[in-house]
Amino acid sequence: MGARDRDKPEDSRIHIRGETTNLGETVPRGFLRAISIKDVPAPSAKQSGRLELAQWLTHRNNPLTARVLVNRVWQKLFGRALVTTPDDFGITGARPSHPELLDFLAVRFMEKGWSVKWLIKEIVLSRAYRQSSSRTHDADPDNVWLSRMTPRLIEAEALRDAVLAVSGQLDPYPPQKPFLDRYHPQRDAELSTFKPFMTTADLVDDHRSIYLPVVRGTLPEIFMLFNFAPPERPVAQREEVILPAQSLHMMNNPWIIEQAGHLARRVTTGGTDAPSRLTRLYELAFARKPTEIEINRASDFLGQDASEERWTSLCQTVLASAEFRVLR
Amino acid sequence: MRTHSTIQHPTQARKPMLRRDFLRHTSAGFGALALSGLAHAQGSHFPAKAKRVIFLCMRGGPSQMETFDPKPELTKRTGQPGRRANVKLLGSKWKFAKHGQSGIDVVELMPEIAKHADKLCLLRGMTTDNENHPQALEQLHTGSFQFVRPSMGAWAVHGLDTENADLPGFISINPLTALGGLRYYSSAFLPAACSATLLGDANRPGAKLTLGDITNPRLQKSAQREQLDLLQAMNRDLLAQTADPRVEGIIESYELAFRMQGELPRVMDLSGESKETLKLYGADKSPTETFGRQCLLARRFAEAGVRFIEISHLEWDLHGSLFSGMTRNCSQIDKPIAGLLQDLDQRGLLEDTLVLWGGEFGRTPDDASQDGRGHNNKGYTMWMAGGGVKAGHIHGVTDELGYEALDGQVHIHDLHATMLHLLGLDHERLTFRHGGRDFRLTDVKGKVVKEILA
Repeated sequence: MGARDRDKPEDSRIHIRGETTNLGETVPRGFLRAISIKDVPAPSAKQSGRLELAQWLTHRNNPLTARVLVNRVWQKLFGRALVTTPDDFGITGARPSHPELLDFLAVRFMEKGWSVKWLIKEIVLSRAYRQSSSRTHDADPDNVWLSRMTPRLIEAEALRDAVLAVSGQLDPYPPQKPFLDRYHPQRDAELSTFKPFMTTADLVDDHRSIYLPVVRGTLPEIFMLFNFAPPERPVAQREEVILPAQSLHMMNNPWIIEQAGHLARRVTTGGTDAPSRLTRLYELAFARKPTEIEINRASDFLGQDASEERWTSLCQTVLASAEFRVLR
Repeated sequence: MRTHSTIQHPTQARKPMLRRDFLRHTSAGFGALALSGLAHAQGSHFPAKAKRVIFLCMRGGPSQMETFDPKPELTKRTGQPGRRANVKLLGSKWKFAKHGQSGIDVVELMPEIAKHADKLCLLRGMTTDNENHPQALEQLHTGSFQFVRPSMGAWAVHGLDTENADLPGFISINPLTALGGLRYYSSAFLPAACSATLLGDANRPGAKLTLGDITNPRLQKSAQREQLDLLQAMNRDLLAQTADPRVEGIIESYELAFRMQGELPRVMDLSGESKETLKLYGADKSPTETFGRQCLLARRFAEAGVRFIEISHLEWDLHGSLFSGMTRNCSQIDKPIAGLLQDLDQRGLLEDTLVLWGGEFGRTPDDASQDGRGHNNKGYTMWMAGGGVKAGHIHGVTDELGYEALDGQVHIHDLHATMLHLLGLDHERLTFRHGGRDFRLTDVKGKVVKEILA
């Protein structure tokens, strides 16, 4: 579905307060008067003005679009944006913490042909990005001045992918068949009956989260619980929330327990004794070796027989742990 | 943010306390606050009449002229032309009688609710902006249908928090989840802790009334506690290394989840209720069993300290099956709702529990099929009971046929303003800053309906 110009474009009336029925004056098509940019052609009378709008949005003399995008990419990578109100660069929005940096990146981004790939590479290769999170700085608790990395919670998609990757079940390749054909064969019937056919339970799958369909009202449970951006509204910043329902999911959800079982088998088929298996578990899940204290504590938990049941419980605690969820 | 607050913590006596005292007395610090939602709750603005709300949502829009707003003139003129072209007037086929000392009209389809007429406060002049189901339902819940806004239950929790830290503050039983239905219960831009916990799913009749993952499928409680102890030891190690409030939040969240795991099934377990109680709600047999159990659950949640409880009853959108549909629906809800009112009253809960009944709009007095009614957003009936509203009172008048409200109009914004007022919240001061401005449940509108306050 795409928008097209109508045969005879016309000017619209103002919808006062956004109401469909409350109409004001007719306003001719044109650019915002508050922001003037030179050398942008006025909309042609024969066209809607969408072409000119696109030209204006991406005009070399209009820094706003590039700033907004650069700010969002920065936020995604650092967890904190340069302008902390990414949806609002206006009067009521926040001032940028690093205005020169924002403009430096925005200008270069335009010069590089609006390449998001270039932008991400530029940022992740910077010294600021590659810092450790282990330092603390009381003078700057929010880390506005970027003297370290700010720890943060991994998002829903990454959490799901991480669980699958660690359990060894992740299928890293794109799915062969479109997901909706697979999970939603009755979608035409759904439209006529107003009843959903696809359920959350239908979304069990081992592909990466990015390949999952986003259907309003039927998201994978882990997405809904771990602050996935709801598809019915624009979300520039996801909330970082910790809820008991998330903990219940990690403690009791059959899918999580199933993945813990896969992880247990993956770990126990590898090593020969508890310490070597625990080392493998910690390397897989936390990218580090366990300490002696951790090995002793886990060995105590496993007990004499160290049954598969016990290993599953242990692996579940690893998947459920704060260390698995906090990126630092 | 306010300095004074009347937030009551379960462990504290019922005295107002200063916000900073609250922060000092609770030892768990930031993580626990973020969790319980207390970090955001504003606290009441003045003494509340109601501590909690039970909303009986009648989806589809129940007919006012077949329930609480008799139209004898309409019955007389059945078959005559109505206001709409080629559509004839249709009178109700059921009789009304005046009940109780207040003489409130109740249709004969609801003999049990009629016994509680003196508890009801009828709002006969309800109006809403849109006559389509999705928009009207959304406005009923959030005040807006153009944008995704927080649900009224979320606002109540944002204002007052939950009374019981082991349970969610906003629970929706049998919610409609399809076609954007989740927006009716969302916290939108309010903190996520304000959003509804959904039990069951109206779109999947087989769905159990339970919260996902509330019980562990493989471990006994003691074995799970042992596992949790290991998990928390790992988490505390990380906290010691990082002093990260997120880690503290996660530790608290597991403890709360473990407590909720005990508390929620306990509150939802009806097996301890006496035969008499089950009978009172009609929870013992069909056709009242399903809704009766939900009404009983609502009472149990109210008693346990949940702030806002919503229950849904579907299929009030009666276009071509008015006569069979009304009979069926009333037979399902009459006894359960009467039982709820009586039980709340007997337990002394009705005085501080606001019960709200109604749908997204009402029905037209005319219809082409002559066995149904169209959508009417210009004058319809909802009612309140308990929680500081006048008992045995009728507010608002519709015209003699039931097309529109003539006096005592109550718009959804006014309903919201009044509901918040009863909860001790000023709808103009209960705000949340988002996208550069302060938002309210009532937007820039709404006035408290003073005439119905007890």
